[in-house]
Amino acid sequence: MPEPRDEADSEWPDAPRLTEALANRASDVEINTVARARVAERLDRSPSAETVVLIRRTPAPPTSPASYRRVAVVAACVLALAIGGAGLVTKFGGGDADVRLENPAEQFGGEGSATSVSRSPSDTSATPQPSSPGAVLAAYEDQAHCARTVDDIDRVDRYALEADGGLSGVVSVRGKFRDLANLVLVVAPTETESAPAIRPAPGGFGMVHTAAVQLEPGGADAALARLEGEMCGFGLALGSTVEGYEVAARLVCGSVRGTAPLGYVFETRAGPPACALRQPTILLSSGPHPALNEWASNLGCTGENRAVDDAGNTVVRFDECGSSLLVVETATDDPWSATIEGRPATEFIDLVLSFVG
Amino acid sequence: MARSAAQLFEREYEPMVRLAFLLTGSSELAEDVVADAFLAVHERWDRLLNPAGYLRRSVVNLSARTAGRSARRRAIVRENSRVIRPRDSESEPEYLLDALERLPERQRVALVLAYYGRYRADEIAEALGCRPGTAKSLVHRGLKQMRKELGDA
Repeated sequence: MPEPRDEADSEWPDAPRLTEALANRASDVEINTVARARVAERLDRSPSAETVVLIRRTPAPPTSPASYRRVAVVAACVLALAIGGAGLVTKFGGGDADVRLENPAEQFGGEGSATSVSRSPSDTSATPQPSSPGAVLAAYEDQAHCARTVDDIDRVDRYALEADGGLSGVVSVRGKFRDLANLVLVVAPTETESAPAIRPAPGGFGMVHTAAVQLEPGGADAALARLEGEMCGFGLALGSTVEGYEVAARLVCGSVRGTAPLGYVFETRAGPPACALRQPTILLSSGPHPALNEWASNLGCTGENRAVDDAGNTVVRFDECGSSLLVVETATDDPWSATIEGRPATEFIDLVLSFVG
Repeated sequence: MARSAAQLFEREYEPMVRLAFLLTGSSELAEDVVADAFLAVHERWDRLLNPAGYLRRSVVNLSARTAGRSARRRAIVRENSRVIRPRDSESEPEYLLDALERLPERQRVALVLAYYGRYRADEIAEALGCRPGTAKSLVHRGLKQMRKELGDA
């Protein structure tokens, strides 16, 4: 236990009162036992082996049967683009390709801090060819440009969505944008749910205003219509339908839909419309799933090409893609534990959609 | 010293959530930050010489990444919290916390670590990824700014 800061305390007479005020503020936090148990459960598992994503082109594996009970899809928007710093370098070459993630420059110097995306000046593959893997990620440069223009509006609001485990309805989530244009939402499956509710992050930011949202039997449209009146420029709506859960995220280029278990975290991020969907996206999935194909298709991505890396991850790219999309079907069935260059992939992601089959 | 990630979790989860809450201002964000930090420790456990230190650093980093990277947000917070109100015993805590909120990010974090976490300069330096001298300087300048914000200067 660190020693009391007597020296500093004597430096400023209000120090003890500041300590007391901070302690009182901190004591306001009620430890969420569900969240705590969730972490404890994760820690009970063996650490997954680190994975260096080294993509090698191999014949496409046979499509897995639709026996996947659950496919979690993690869309990595690498949003910390907007923050600056060193970044993620992706390069491809010839028939082989590798994805290399540099340790990001960090505001505070440690691990797990902001990541930005940039292309190394020395990267000779910086000019991607059409239909090449590099083309898939070419928008990194564009995004970096966007990021430079919007570096002051980067913001993550998180919503915790907890659903009744017995809820039989469908949850629809849609993002609508007027002046703002970048929805990032995270829907992670929850093992233990409570009453349906979405808890917004406190306060609002800029043009993004948050509001409490309750599941509504009227469906997403009704909820959305209501929310649009309450939220400026951006809305999340939840509605229930039947059998399973539905997630619909409307981005600028169209709708994204899939079925998903009720999740617990939503993240939203605001950006200018010009930069929407030029954001490079990496999807981490525990396997192929029709909903994923539909999503990719909605994003304008067709012409699937598959490759398997040394760790057994299947990397999917697209000959035609309206956005910069790369799909990594992880070797394990737990995308949450996926690593890229030894770092949890979740450090690089901003969008998580969890699908159920 | 914790002998396993689970042991470290038992000991540090709650304190880290409270610390992250002070840094992010949101209990939900704090939970996410701490979860991510513990998982990062878990992944690297065999290679970490000081897991507790790594955990603290991760929590601080992730908190800063989550809540502190938006200059605009900070500016709004500062602007909105610049409320003139009488300073009396009842309002004292909020008065101090408001002033703290208006500090530059690293100074604010340094003071939270120093006065809530009771961290020494070397521990603050470790958490912030800077030299102890820099950490001392951050605390010193933070205190100076606090005095200024509070009208004590």
